[in-house]
Amino acid sequence: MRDASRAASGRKVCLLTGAAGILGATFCRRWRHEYDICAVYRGGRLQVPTQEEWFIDPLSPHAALRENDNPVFAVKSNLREPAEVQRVVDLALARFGRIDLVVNAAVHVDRDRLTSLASSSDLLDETFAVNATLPIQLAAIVCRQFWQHSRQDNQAWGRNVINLSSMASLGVVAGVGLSAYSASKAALNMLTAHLAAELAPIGVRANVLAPTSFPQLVPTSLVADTVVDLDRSDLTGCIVQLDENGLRETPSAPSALHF
Amino acid sequence: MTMPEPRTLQAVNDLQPLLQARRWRWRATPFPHIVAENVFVPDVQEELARDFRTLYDQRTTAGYNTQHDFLGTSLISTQCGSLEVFISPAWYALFTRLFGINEPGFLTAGVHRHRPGSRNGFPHNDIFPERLDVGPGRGDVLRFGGPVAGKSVRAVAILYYLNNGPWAPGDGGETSLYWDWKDGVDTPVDSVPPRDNTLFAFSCNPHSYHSFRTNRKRRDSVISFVYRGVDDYVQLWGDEGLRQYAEYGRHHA
Repeated sequence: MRDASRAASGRKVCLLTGAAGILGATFCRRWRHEYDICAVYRGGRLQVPTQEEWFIDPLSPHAALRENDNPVFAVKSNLREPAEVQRVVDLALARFGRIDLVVNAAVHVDRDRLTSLASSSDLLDETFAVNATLPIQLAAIVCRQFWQHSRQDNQAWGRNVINLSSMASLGVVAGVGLSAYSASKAALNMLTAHLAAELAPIGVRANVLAPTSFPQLVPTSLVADTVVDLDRSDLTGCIVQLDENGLRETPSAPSALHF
Repeated sequence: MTMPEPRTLQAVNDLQPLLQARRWRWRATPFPHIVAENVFVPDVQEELARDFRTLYDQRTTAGYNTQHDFLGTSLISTQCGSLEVFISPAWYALFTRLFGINEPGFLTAGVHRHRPGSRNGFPHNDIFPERLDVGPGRGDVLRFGGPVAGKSVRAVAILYYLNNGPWAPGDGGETSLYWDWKDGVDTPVDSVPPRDNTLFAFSCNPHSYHSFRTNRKRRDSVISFVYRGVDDYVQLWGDEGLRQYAEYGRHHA
């Protein structure tokens, strides 16, 4: 990956979904000192200091602790609820004044069989909604609300979208239970490629990061760090595969864009 | 490290050699509370669990609390070995300082055992005026300069989980937290699992709604309460919390 030179300096603002998940938590822990993070999570607990939770030393409760530096801005949201995506973008912009990086790490995994569709389409509806539709919708709202009139700033800040996909989206994984997940991530790959093409005129990039299983086969920290590498690159329209053998950049279409 | 003579635990810093984790989590929602893991150093943790077992084995007078479905007994009126840390002046001082309780008050403490299958509790805020008998001869209240006469209410509740073994989701026994007393007990905002050597503490106020959740495994805990005078409480919060307790008390009678 190549380094992009940015006219702007300072901390970038990252809007992150799935912040309480394995990857989201790792990203917050490793990178909150360099990004202002709006951490969107549905349930569970963020493992880093937030505006609602911080560390104290019981024997010296008023002491300033280094662990509390750079808290993330936590937003609890079920993005499947009506108007929640809009609310999340509004909150991020109200808190930070801008959004420079969108990382879609929220994920839905339902290992039901495709034959379950005989009685209900929930398996595909919910999985595609969370894994394919929501990431694009979030980027679209950020674009409409903040990015689309400021090409120069977008390029200066290296603004971009990183959608977390999976190696399972690039081939059939043996065994039952990943059909909906794999197909939804494959859809995300293609949607992101088109998004990259749509956003190119306003100077915003979009890429897919498709890691293999983490933390089983690659460390979660490596996946989180690769998100940052992608943010700092000038790639767009690419599927970046990450497995035990390292990184591979795959243009998602013959006309993959670099600018 | 073993537990020092309890009488030496006078000031907050006397607890320093006993504490393992020096980073406790302060959480603002749904009401201010603290969650701390790995509270005591391993030797002390084991000593506390051992003395908890001894106390339960020896005592035949553990009372059954019908409202909250647990067996319990006071620590103050018995020989409890290392568990005396929970009734030490240092322990009292630690939590009054953490929660900003400036008025002199009282401390009570006891051990609780929720047997497997104990029923769900209900969201309540722990605000219940009590006339603590702090006169001579009474053995379950420690006075730290609080007024002898009048009613008191809980100012801080501290739960320390021990002697439970490994905990996994589904084992139950969590202490769950709620926005409102009308919330369903199974739809909490958050929950604190009863993992050994974990502590959950909160400031008692009109909004400190919490509840025990039904358990598949035994849940043992040590609970301490710091008390303040009712007048002190009303000055801070008004009498709203007192009225709410009466209200949900009727619903769950």
